[in-house]
Amino acid sequence: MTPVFCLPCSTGRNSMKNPLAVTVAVCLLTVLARGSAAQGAGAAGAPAAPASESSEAQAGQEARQAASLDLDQLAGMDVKVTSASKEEERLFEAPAAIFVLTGEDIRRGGFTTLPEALRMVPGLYVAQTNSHLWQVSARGFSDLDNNKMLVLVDGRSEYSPELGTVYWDVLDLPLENIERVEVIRGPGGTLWGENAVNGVINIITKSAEQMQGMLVSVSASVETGYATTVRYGGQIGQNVTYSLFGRASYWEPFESTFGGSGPDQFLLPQAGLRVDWTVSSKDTVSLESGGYDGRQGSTNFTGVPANYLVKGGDLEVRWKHTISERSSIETLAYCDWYTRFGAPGEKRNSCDLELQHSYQITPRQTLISGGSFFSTGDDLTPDPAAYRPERRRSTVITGFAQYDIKIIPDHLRVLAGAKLEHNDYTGFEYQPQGRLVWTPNRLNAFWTSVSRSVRVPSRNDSDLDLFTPAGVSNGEPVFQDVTGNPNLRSEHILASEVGYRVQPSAALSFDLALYYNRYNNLIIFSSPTIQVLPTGVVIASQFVNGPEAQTHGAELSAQWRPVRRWAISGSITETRGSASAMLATPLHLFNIQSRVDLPHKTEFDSALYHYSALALAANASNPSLPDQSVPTFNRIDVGVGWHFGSPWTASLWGRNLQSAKHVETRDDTVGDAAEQVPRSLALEILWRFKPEHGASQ
Amino acid sequence: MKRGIHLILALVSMLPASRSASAQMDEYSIKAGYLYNFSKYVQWPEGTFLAPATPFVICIVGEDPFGGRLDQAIAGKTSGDARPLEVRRFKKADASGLRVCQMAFLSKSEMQRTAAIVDTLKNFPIFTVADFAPFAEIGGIADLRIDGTKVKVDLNMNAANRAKLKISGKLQQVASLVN
Repeated sequence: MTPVFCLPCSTGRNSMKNPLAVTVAVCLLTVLARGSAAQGAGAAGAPAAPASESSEAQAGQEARQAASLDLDQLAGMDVKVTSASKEEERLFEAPAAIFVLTGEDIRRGGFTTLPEALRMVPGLYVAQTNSHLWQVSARGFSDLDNNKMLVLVDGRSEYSPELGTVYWDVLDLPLENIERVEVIRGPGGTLWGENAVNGVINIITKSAEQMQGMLVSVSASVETGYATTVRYGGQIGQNVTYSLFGRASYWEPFESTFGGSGPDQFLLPQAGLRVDWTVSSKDTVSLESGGYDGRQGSTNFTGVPANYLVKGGDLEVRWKHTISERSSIETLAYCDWYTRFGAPGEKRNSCDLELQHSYQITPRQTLISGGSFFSTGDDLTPDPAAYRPERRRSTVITGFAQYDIKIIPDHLRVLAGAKLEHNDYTGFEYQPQGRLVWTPNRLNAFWTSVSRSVRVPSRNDSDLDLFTPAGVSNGEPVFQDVTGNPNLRSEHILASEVGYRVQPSAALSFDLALYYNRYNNLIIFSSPTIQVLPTGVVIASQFVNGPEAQTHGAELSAQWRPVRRWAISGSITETRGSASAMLATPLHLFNIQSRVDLPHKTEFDSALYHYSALALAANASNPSLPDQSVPTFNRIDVGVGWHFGSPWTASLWGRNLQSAKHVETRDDTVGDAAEQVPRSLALEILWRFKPEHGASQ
Repeated sequence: MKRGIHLILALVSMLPASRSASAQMDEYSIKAGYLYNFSKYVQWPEGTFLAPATPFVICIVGEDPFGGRLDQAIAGKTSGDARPLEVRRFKKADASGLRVCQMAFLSKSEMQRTAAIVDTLKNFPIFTVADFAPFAEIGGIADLRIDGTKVKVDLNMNAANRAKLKISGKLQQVASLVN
């Protein structure tokens, strides 16, 4: 489903048959409950015509038609806006802090894995914790329990309700399969559902049409690891296109601050399939399925390193149906299952069914409404911590509506929406939002929004039952008793945002977003109570809804093309807030990328990233541990790419050139060992064969 | 009468209706249509062509933004004086090579060299056209510029006269005259 508020949804491509549906599609960004939403570009499977421009045959036909027009008719003909420029327009007028990372941005940066590509997104803080895990957050709260970001892949939620984490290691999608990543900072409550409190990362993969032919890629780095992808796409008859891939990646363990190699090696073989079917001029169906069976190295709190199983799969079907020129309906159904050992560990299976209807009431007003049913069941016995109950199934039912009106067409637009949901932890939750965008002319856009969103307690918050020995004190054994609280209320956020975009010239643009977030009922450990029992001393603590907190800040990004062959982009992110929010979040982030196109199809690219220091508090319960702070660092990446012979592309990248190794963040709950990210050199080679009349890749 | 209908159609398309309901074409289909029309509404001086069957040559100088559109637009058609039409491409603006052209479309990739190219070609019977401003002001004959959502023509009559090209009244009427 495409995110709701007129954000780049590229549904223009899906509804190409129907010009009015295209206009409707402009306001389509379906963000549904519980991590649904966003399929975007060709997700439902665009029929024959490739994504952006008309195919060659259509172009030729149109040109012949143009030659048969007389001068007056030519002078009166409107220039058709291509989806690329529609996209730019939509991004420009979006009443939200949005950034779109394109497949080309990812390719050009020479990344081998997705979280690394997210570093350049304004407002995102990406910290690599070990060879295969990252924390990705926005607007504060980037500690290990980073639980306020929602991540979707083609509408499937990747947010685990056990702790609220996102397992980036198994989101090792072949980067050549990613069409775009839409990142929206700020609450996505109405649109994307609960737990999207600080933002949504919407990963959209290519349609089968865009993955035709054969592709083989190999990347190798002695310091960080190896990966290879093989992909093949074809057609069955006129209306069905498919693409399948296999991938294997191996990430080398990092060096620990204690010395010696950390236990964090990671091996992930995976495969995936996509089938797009154009059933009729009004219906498209898309099927995706994938699976992985990998191993992660971990000590799992035992101190003894071993390889633990990480495996899972998913199956998803989407159906887009055009009812009329003014209305269309999208249905999404998926099931996702995985087993994960190592800390955290869980077995989970989830299924989701969503429906979304968009209706253009008048050319100026659109109503989008829908609902979803999401059920997730887990077995937390693989986790080293204990839970009560060990197995639990929970259900979330939601309904939402969003109303969009162009009060002054091309100048003033207002959106208002709300989502109502019911879940097993806190009952009913209500998430409303209002947005406004004012575009006085094509060069300036102002937007503002107010929204309320919630984070529902995780399994850990609600059901943890941990009773462990914690040493000896004065000859008495000491125990730690940490329990969850089934009566917790949701965390609430009330977010106010303001933004401004300006394009002083075709080659220069700026985008500024300011925000103030007020948090209530944050879930924290209560102050411990000490009980002296005959068997020993028990330090007891429970999760409670705690005090308020706030964050506020600014995100500024710019794009500049001083000459045709040189593009520069950069962003500055400033974050401030209460101590609890800023524990592991840097105050300043800065990055700048330079891309130069050289003759003979060569590319020279470089990037600089600045991360200011983290002042992680000394471990309160064990003051003997050394200071946990992480110093400021600047990261420098330099790379060269070149195309030689038509199917071959290669790139050579030096990353983290600034130091032999460095720590990006620490796990402040488990002692002070940290894995260090090394300087690395990576070579990637890609071979691609496209059929003659295929789609673009 | 035809003009009246066009006026009414233009008014209708301005009503607050869905923008996508009015007729639309790709930018470069429209521009290809214009180039073909220029070959019909402009007269080249006597002696430009060696023989009655000598083709009328349209040249694209620099990076080709048309895709296959220009070739498709002229396929099977003839110029104003019934000559076959031909498209030739020049990667670089080489003045001596361009003398075979009756019409020369300068791509945006040649923006930096425009003044030099226009200067070299100005006395030859070549209809110079581009789609970036201020081509007509600096000596090019026609500029296909985007005005709102439409493609309009700017004509530099002085440049046309210097090139000894006669521009029909019809084309002058549709275009904006810059000089």
